[in-house]
Amino acid sequence: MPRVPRLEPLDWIANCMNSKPILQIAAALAFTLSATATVRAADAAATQPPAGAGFTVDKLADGVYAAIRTDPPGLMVDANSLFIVNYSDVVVVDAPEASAEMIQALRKITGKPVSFLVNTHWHDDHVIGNAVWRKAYPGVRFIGHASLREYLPQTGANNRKQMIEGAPQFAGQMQAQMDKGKNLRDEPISDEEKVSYASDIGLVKHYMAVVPDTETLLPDIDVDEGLTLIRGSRRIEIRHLGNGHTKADLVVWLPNERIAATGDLVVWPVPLVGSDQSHVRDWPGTLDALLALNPAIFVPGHGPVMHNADYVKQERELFASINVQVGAAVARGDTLEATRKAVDLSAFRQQFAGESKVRQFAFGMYVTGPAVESAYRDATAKP
Amino acid sequence: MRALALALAVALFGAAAGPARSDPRSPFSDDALRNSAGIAAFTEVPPPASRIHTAFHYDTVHVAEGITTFIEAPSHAMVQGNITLIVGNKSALVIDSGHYPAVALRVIADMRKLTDKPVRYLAITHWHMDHYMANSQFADEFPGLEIIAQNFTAPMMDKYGARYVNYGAKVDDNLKPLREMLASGKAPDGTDVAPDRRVRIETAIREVEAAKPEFALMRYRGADLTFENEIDVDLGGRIVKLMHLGRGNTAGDLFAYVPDAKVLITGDILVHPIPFSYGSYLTEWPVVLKKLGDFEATTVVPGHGPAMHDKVYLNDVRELLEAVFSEVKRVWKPGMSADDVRNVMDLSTQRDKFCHGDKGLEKSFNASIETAGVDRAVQELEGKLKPESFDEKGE
Repeated sequence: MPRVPRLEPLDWIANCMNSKPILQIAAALAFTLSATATVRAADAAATQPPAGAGFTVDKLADGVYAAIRTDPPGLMVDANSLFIVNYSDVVVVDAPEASAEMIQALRKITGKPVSFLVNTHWHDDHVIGNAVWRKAYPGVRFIGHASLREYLPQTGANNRKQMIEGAPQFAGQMQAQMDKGKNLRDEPISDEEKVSYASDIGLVKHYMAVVPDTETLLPDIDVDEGLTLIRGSRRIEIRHLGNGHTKADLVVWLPNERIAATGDLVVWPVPLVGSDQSHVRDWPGTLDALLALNPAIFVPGHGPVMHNADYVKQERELFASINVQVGAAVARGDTLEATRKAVDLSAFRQQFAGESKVRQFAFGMYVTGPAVESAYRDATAKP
Repeated sequence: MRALALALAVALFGAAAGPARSDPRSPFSDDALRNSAGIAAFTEVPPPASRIHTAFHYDTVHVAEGITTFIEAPSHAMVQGNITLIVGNKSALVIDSGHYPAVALRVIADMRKLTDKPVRYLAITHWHMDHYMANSQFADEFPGLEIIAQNFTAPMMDKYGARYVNYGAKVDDNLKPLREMLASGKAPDGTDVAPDRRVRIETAIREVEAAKPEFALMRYRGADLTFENEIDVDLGGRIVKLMHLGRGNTAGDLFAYVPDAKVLITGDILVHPIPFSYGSYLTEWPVVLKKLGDFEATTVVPGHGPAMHDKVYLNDVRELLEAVFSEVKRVWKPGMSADDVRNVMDLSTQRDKFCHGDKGLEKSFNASIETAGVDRAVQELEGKLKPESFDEKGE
């Protein structure tokens, strides 16, 4: 049974995962994608950001561009973004830490103003850049789930504080392990882990350069269910399809182009679950609603553009299985600890992580531990 | 008096005189309007007293801190829904753009005197044309303006608003019967046109003439942002809740609530002095009004008529609609037409309460409640609610 490692360098993460603020880590933590997985449009070369920007810009349809992170899988992440260029304005999905660089990339594509930016949920790697976008485009308005209005000034602010205090220390520990030639488990470090740690350290540095003096901007328009932006023949549907990664998840759906920007409802190479904030119980149903839209293209919160539903279905099956197994344990009257022991996700771990140590570690960190706890909490919650 | 918008519209697009029809195919068809080429009906009786009869007059009313409503002062043949400005620390939101472009430009100029905050949102309460035909003027004046409507309303605006701009061409055709009455001194039924009615006909012609150039200025502009049940808009230190709580006056009624000021802006869910019930939903509408009554509002701004500082009228309208449906249900038997129902029903208590003997109000009550409202109630009882539409064909 994979267990969340409790090794010394990970105490900070473990604390974050287990404490109320949990997924502030998602603010900076997570995993990313392999650059090779991204299919680049041939004509996008001129719009590519400079090397080292950490993302590519891929044209998905007329006027629709995905800014996709290229960091190797790891524990730290920054988010993808989507630019929807309309007749007279631009609508953007998410405001990652690299928003300044993304604005440069967008300006290579178009000089049109950004009218709306949709925050797919409340984590820092999706909202931290709001102020940067506002500075670049004073007319931009933010759309988010209604719960952001309470979350961001309270839990969100606390989590950011914890990140600012903890992230440099975490990066320092990673660097120290690398210097010793060890991984976080104090085993000899692999090449894959070296690349991953270096990326994580870089992301922490970038986070620290961007975050501390950033003003939190709340939604200008908040929604419970969603809204639709009409731009000539283009429709941009912003929809809360249900709880999953958080209870604030919004999907941006372009019905004509059949493109769905999923936020962190879909994260590659392993899903991103927070024990407190995620709702594994609801997640499969929410993904069913997403799949029912029949998207041709998924733009996940983290990971490469997906041109079929295979990964989303795989993620759905993972959560459905967790719910079935946890449900059985709860029915037996198992404690959380007993439930953790009873739930077997090894086949899923193999499916998501394969032989990659980095991904296996991430699977333990972001799925096995928090997902069972989330499902257990919701299954035992008093109505 | 709300039938006036439709009176004008019907006149303009050619609901020429014809035989009274007992089974109106459209919620907007109305014997009084049709028999008299629309507006002519309103020359038959005096208007309610103490109204200003200048075309396009409006009153600027301070409703609450940072909330101003431009309230139409109904004239004889013209109508324009109320326009409300809500100002926050950073931006402003407007409810409805009104009927006429030139009027809207005057309203916008007045708004600029009240605030230097940019109007960034314009929410349209429903698809009836007296509430949004000046969208273009607002969009031109406030770059980046986002026009908001409920999901049902947006395509209805596209359908009817886009062609409404052409109705100006029919103004003269539809004034012809009135002009003939003035020339001959005889009404179509052969009776003499009395001096006081002659004055009213002249006024109506003058007011409709005044509307003619407005049509030339109209450029249809639809919604940019739609929603189903609710979105909340932050204007900076002030949230405006834009909501839809079910079918009432239309299937897409949007209203606004400003919690910090306790102001409810209802659109035509509430219309004073007579509810406007063409195309409405008689059993669901009172449910919406009940929910509106549950808001902590201390000020209620209707779609037409003055701002109110209590919920008395809101409750009166709810009771009226409940009473109308209840009375229709009492007398209706399968196979009975709406006219059959009208022949035996009794709404005199309600009529007296809302009209208190005022002939002009009774005319409106007859058109909107006893005709259009009862038609809709019968349709509901038959289980055959007709789709909302603007024109006779219901297309």
